[in-house]
Amino acid sequence: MGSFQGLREFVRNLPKGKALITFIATFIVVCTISILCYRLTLEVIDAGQWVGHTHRVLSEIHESISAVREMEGAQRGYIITGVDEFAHSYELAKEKVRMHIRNLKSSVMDVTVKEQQLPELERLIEARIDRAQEVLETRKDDGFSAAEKQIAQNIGARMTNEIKSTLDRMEDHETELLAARYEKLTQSTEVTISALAILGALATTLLCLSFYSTNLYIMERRRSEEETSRYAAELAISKARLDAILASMGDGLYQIDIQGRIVFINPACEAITGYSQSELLGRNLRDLIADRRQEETGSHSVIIDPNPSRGLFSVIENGGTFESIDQNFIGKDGRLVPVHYVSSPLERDGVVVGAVVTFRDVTMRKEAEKRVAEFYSTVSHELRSPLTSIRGALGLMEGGRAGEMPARAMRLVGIAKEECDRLIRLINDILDIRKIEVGKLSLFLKKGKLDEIIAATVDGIKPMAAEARVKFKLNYVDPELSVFCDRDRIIQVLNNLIGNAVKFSSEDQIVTLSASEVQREVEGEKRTFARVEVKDCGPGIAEDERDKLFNLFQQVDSSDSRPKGGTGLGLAISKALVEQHNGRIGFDSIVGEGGGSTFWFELEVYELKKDLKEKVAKLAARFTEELPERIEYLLDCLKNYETSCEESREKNLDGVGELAASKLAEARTVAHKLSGSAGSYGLAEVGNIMLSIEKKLEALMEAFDPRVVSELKRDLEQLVLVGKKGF
Amino acid sequence: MSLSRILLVDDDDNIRTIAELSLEDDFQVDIASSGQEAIDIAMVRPPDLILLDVMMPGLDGKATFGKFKEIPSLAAIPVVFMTAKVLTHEIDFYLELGAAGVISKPFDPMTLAEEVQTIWAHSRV
Repeated sequence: MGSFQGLREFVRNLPKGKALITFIATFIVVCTISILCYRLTLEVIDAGQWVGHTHRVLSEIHESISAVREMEGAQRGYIITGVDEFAHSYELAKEKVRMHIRNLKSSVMDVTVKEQQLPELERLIEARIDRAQEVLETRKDDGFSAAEKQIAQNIGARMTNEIKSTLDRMEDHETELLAARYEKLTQSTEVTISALAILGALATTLLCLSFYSTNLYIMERRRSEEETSRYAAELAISKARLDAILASMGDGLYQIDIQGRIVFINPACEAITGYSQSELLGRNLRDLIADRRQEETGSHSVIIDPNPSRGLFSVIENGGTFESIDQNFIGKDGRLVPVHYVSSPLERDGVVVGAVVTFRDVTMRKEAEKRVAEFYSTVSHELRSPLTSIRGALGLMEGGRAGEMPARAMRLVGIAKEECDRLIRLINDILDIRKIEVGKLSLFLKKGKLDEIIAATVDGIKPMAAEARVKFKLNYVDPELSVFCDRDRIIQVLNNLIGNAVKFSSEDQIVTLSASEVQREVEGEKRTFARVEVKDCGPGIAEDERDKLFNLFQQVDSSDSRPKGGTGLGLAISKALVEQHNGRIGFDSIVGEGGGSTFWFELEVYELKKDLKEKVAKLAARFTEELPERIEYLLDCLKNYETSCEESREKNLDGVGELAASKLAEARTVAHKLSGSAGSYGLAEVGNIMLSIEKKLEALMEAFDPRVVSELKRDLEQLVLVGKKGF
Repeated sequence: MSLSRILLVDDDDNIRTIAELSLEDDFQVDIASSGQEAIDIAMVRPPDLILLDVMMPGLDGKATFGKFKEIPSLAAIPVVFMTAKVLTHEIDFYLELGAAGVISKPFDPMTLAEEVQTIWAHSRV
């Protein structure tokens, strides 16, 4: 196991990339060189051995020649002297000659020498020995003269010459071989030396390269290790920072997995919910979201949401973020914590693995909002009540109910009344703004015809215009042009715009009103809007005033410094109202006398029965769902009727039981209703079958007919099939 | 005078729902699920037009129509029958009876309002 680990460690530490390639190349080259050198050296050794061998053969040949000479010398000495010592020497020399010939036989490798010359030589030597033996025998037995005669025949000398010449031929042959082998040895040695030099140089180069790339690799590795450790350090710092943020942030945080189980929380979460970390981890966040929430439109009503976690978890499936300001989380001991939360999906490698939910305990804010709302309600009531009285009293005084008043007093009363009206408007505006700000201004949306809305507004504002001596010009408005709006609120917007136009117009100037259809692209979709324009011929709006025109408490300075009697809230309210209708508001203005301004707003055109199709589709779906139950009912009625008929037949009674008859009538009514509604839902096939069923039930009511009953059953079966097939 | 308030009389929930949806954008719609209920509602809030289903349990369409004609304050209100039987002679029968018109069932929810409006306009001529 340990060695396996070590091997793994070694492999892991091997250089990578170019360094590895160089290393492998060097390794292969060095191996090749080693094998090559080994083989070349073997060749040199082989060639050397062959040279040595040839030398040994040559030496044997020389030894053989001298042994033959020695043998002849000893023979000659014995013949001349007759001394036995020479005979003994002869015997020794003879054996020596034989020994050298054996040596030659064993050492000679050359085929020609071995197969032709050596047997010849052996034969010659044996013949020579025989001759010498013969002469020696003659000397010994017959004396010197007889031996001399034999010698004079010169047979031995000829044999010796033949032996010598054979040995000389062999020597020549071996000398040639020696020369050839020397040459081969020299060549092999040269090749080996050259190869060693070249391969050595190559190996050295590769070793250098390998060293260089390994060095590079080591440097790179060291650098990457340094970087890794730097990243690790940065990561540690970043983690520490994140931990510190999570620990110190006032907002609570839940991290949940894809199933909704809590996998991480921060300390603020513990503080807000009252749960400890160990109590929360692993729990499903769905169980910690309360199903009751404060209804936004009504201040004190509470609504029950059957699926309160829907929005929070939608981000896991659909992406994006989800924000809620009116939900409650469940704290420890079942306590409800009102929270403002944002849920965002958590991704890893592009795949959503859960979500992060940050939330803020808004108990304090809710209480503050409640107190502010109470304050507004109190203030508006407390201010409006006395103002109404003051306004009423002033009205009565102006109307002469308090007796005759001097003209100056009447003027003062008029001023007081006007200011009183302004104050009432201001309070109403402030309350509107307040409602808009807290999102509690509810719109009662209905189809509104623009020509009527404009006419109603103009009617209301005519007295004011008459007083300012401003005239209206009402351009043609298509009576079919309608918007989906809260009529009163749009009249309020128009009132503000027309009121402003009147205020900024001089005597005898004209305020022009128009409404028309415009096409505009919204989110890539072409949609139709109704554009309402209020054009005046006033002084226009200065460039530097334009940006803040729709801000709260903004009043445009008029060139004549005439007080305009507005609250400075009208345009802000109008903007908020139009935007709440999902519309746009704006203006175009030309500065200078008679330039004038055109204030406009756009609301989406009311399309006839836009939602009706969707609603009908929903009803049709519900109808389809309930259809099997109805079919079951009809079948039941039919069975009941059949049984009753049979019973009547058995008892020989006329007609069917009362109950069965009334059931049949009921079934007919049901079929009648279903055929009517199915058709209206667009389920024509169901409608037709139902109609046929109705007719057959009617026929049965007249008289029992088993064929009609079976046809009816077929109709009902067909209906089931249609239901299964889908509509 | 324009057509603004309609009394819809039908005992079937589905028909009532879909007819109300079809009409509510254009008119104020009162709903009754039986002939008697229709008479009670009409007495309190007389409609401009009555849309009356023919086939209803208890007081059916024809009987309800008769009752309306008997009550002087309601007798002049135009009544439109809704029925699945749309044979010509049946339409004639209802018209002869004094109906302002007959709407066949199933009706098209997209055009019901216009259909009613047209019948109303004819009845005013």
